[in-house]
Amino acid sequence: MKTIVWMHEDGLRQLLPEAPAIFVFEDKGHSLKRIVFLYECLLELDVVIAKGDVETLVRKFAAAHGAERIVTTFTECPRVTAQARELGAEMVNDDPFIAAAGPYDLKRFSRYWQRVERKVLEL
Amino acid sequence: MMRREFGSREELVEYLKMEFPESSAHGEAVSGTRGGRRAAQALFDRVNPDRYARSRNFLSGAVTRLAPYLRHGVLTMGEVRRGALGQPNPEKLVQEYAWRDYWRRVYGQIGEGVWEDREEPKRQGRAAQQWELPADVPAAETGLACMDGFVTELKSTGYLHNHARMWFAAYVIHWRRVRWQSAARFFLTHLLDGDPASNNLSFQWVASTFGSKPYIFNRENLEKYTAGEYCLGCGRNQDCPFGKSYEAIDQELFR
Ligand SMILES: Cc1cc2nc3c(=O)[nH]c(=O)nc-3n(C[C@H](O)[C@H](O)[C@H](O)COP(=O)(O)OP(=O)(O)OC[C@H]3O[C@@H](n4cnc5c(N)ncnc54)[C@H](O)[C@@H]3O)c2cc1C
Repeated sequence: MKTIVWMHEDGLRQLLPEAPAIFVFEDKGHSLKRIVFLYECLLELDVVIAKGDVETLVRKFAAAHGAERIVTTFTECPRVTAQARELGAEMVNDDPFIAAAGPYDLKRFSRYWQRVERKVLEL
Repeated sequence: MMRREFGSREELVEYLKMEFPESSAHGEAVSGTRGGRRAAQALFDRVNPDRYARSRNFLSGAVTRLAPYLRHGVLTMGEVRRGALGQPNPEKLVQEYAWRDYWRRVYGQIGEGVWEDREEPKRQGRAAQQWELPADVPAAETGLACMDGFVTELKSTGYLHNHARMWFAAYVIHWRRVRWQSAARFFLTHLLDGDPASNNLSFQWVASTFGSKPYIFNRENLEKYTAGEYCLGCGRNQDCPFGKSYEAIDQELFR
């Protein structure tokens, strides 16, 4: 199946090197220095850079490539997650900190650390 | 479609100023920190977990400066963890990476709830009451060389050392009695690594709305970890609000 990648701010890396990728800037109230940083990250990647409405532009990009599948990097960000759901995009957690998903008791860091310490300290 | 070819960094910056005119509301500074995998890799190759563990609390310590790259997924949490484990004494650094993972997991559970107090503040006393950041703080005009220095560095570089972030947050919340949200928003605008998870939840940790007690510091602590850099020429050297014992500060702030 033909696939495109929707690249967002939490995943500025080449997720599927063969698939065409697009990044869309939205107005997020960033400072100029943050925008320059993001842009420099994008310039090292094989990605089309656009500005405007994410859903419209990603859909158009997919259609232009005749792609039925949209893939994106996993993030906990609620806004990106909602946009991915809207686009029907698959979220891929390609290289997480801990392989096993949990669930962990997140009431305090100490409880979480107790559970994950052994796992994250071995290669 | 946006442009991908530029002759120089200056040309790129000029182009982005035109494309994002609204960003000038936050100033025109551009950081010396470059975006991209190449710059990230150069820092990653220099990470030294053993020196990190021994010096990380000092402003001059061997911290990694990987945060903006981790924040934006230029580097993955998996690769930096494995990188540390290949070297001597990795525990402390891996635990700090784990803080990021922890805050992000909380974010995954509560989403926009990171903007609301997670718990009641633990010590009411003179609890934070004001919503707006007083104008002298973001203008770097408090007269306190440390706080003004942190603000100036933040605005020009988009980076602050973890300890400076803690001191600044404590100053604004506990001494100036400002709700943490306005300071958090100020940080998010300027930090290259600005992240609603690590940022807001760290502010809440300082405020004690996500932690068991408020974080405070005193001059002795700041002076030690900054090697006296700020206090030396500070105009308020003689009337330093932090120049007391922890007991006295506790009394003053939370009585
Ligand atoms: C008030 C306040 C606001 C903060 N805001 C942010 C933010 O917006 N974005 C952000 O990434 N971090 C934030 N932090 C956490 C921490 O200060 C920064 O991650 C760290 O200073 C970045 O510099 P470094 O990469 O040199 O860190 P190092 O000390 O070299 O640490 C290595 C990596 O571990 C992670 N890490 C280390 N300490 C922490 C921590 N306490 N919490 C979460 N992750 C950590 C970061 O990804 C960091 O890059 C904040 C801390 C405070 C007290």
